[in-house]
Amino acid sequence: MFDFFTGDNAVWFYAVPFAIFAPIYFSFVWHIGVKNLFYKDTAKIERKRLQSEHQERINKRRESKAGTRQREDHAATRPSKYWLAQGVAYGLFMTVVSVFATSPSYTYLGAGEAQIKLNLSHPGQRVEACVQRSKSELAELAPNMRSQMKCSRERAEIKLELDMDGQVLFRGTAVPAGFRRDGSSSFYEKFFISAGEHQITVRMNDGDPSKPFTHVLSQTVNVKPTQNLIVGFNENEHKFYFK
Amino acid sequence: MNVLTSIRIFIQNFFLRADKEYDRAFGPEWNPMRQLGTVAFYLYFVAAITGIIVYVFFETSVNGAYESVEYMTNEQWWFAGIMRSLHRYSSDGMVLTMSLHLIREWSFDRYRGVRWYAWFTGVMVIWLLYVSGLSGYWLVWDQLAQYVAIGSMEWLDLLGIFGEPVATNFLAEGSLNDRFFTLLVFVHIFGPLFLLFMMWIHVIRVSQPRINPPRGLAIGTLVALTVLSLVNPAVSHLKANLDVIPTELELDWYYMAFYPLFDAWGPGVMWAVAIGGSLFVMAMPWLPPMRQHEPAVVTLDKCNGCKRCYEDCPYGAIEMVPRSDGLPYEQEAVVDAALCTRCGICVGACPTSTPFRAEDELITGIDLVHLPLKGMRKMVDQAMQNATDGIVIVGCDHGQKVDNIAGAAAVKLPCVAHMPPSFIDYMISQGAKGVLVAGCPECGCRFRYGVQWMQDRLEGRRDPYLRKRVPRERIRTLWASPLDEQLLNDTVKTFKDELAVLSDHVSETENGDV
Repeated sequence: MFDFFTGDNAVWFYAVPFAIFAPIYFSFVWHIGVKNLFYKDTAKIERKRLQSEHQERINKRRESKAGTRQREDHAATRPSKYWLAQGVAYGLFMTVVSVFATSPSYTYLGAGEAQIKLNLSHPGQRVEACVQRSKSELAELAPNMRSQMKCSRERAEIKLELDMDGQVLFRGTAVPAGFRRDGSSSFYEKFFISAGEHQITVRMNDGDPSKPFTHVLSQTVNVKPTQNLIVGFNENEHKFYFK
Repeated sequence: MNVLTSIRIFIQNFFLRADKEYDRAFGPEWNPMRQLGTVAFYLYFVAAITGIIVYVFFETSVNGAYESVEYMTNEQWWFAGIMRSLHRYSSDGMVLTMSLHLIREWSFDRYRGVRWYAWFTGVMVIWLLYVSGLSGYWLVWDQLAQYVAIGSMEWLDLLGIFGEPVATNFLAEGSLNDRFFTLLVFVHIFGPLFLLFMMWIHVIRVSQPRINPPRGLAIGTLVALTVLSLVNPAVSHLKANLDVIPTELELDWYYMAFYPLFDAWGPGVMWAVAIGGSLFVMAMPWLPPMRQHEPAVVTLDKCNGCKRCYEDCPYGAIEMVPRSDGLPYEQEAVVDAALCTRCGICVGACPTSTPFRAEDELITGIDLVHLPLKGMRKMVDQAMQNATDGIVIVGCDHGQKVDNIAGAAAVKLPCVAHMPPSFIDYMISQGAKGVLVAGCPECGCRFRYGVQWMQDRLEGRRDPYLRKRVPRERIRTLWASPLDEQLLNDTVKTFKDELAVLSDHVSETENGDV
């Protein structure tokens, strides 16, 4: 049966954010102008009517007042040299548009360089080991909740190191995602290196930080210029890879 | 004068000089420097229409996107290629005109008070313009798109709102699927729609907003963009390949100037710059120095609900509401303080604003608190005493430098249209030889319509009119830039000479010589 208050599809999970944010959102869009779609702004309509009446009066007066100086029509009376000047102005504008649309060029990666991208998203080991539930413990649970193993959700932080030719490129720790720290720990780093042969070593500890690294890979890799070398972790095979 | 003020004045002078030169070529009405906002609107619509055409030829798939854009550029260059170039250059032009518009409004201090709303919402327009433009660059799926896509995702990843870094979607060839391009098209359609919505919000509080440039300027801009598209068509980089890092990139600096900074400084600093910069710019209208006076006030005893102030207010700050004081008029004027710019144009429109009264009766239907009608008449009386050659110049606080003109005395108001035409009648009847009204350039009034309304009032096209008895040959108008000091001096000199001839002629007539 659909449970309104517990489980992944609990109603409150959607209702609470909606109740908080919907009034804010609708109030915002209402006040910035949506209300004008529903309520006629009588003052604005009246102003438009007055403006149109006023314009009519002006037009009539202009027609009746022969000899009154009219506002100059700059376009109509403009000699050809001004059209030329306009052409120059448009040319200047378009030159500025065109030039900065593509230049100056930007060197993102120098000649003979390549990139290492360290990308990893891996759940650490559980902080507390799983324990077997006794029969009495299982009996107390609802039938659909009778899992044999009782496991804590929290995962360990992951410690990761990347070295190249004996030099440290990266050393860091990532905490598990989620409020309960039960998600994966992620790393995303990139490094520019010179192309050529390099000894690359990557190490990870996904459990107790006081113990040695749990996963290590060290290889000599021939990195080509402009290559994007991925250093990642294969979750199926539980080992690092260079690609 | 501090450094910031010096910079502001330097930029202001740059725009004033540009205005002057462009006025000579385009005339005040077509001057693109005074139409930066409308040109930006126009370029948006050019980009939108050409974008719809380009979409007809575009294929939303990883392998098809680049090929379809190349087809447009090379095979169909005579139509789809031009549309692509127009699409690109109009969006670039929009960034350029929008930036100039922003700098111009800042340099002229036109972002405080009532203008805060347009300024504030303008920042959101900038963000949406960048979302719209950059999402378009992704669609080409060339090396530039690859660079921008990865950079943008790395930037977003710093927020930590995604379970795993979204940049990993661009890790290696084969990471992307066609659905990604469907999503991109969605972003590139809805981004510009939200942008248009925000542009509407940007001008919603402006009375009679101008969002379309004059037809001549619109045609000229489109022709120029088309010529540019033919001469220098937009082209792509090599096809994106996530296994290969691009080396040299021809960045579109209008949209991508922040990316090299991102490479150099990292995402944290760039978020600080983007968020901090936006918040600072949004807060600018409330930062010191505040220069706000009290808004205009209505004196109901003198207001007969004639609606002239209501018609003339360039900011729609006056509402007409049912009469509340029992006097036998239908309506009364009410000032919305949040919209009032304290320009005084309403005072100039009010038929009760006349100086031909005893001082204690100098009360008008609507008036400025910091410069009431009494104060204006005192200024006028003082100026007439100081005008050794009998010429009074009516100027404004933001326009020509009317002080210190030999033989003439100045009356400076917030806007020249603050002065009711009856004051000119008053000056001539009290002995002034001539009155020169020297305001902002045509179409360049700080308060939008001050110059136009004043000219119309003087020429009998708009209430309140200048009375027929006032000799028109003793009145001169000069709408010019603050940089046109020589023009002002020459105009005063010529006017003085003409008035001298006029005086000789009058005295000869009085002596019976003619």
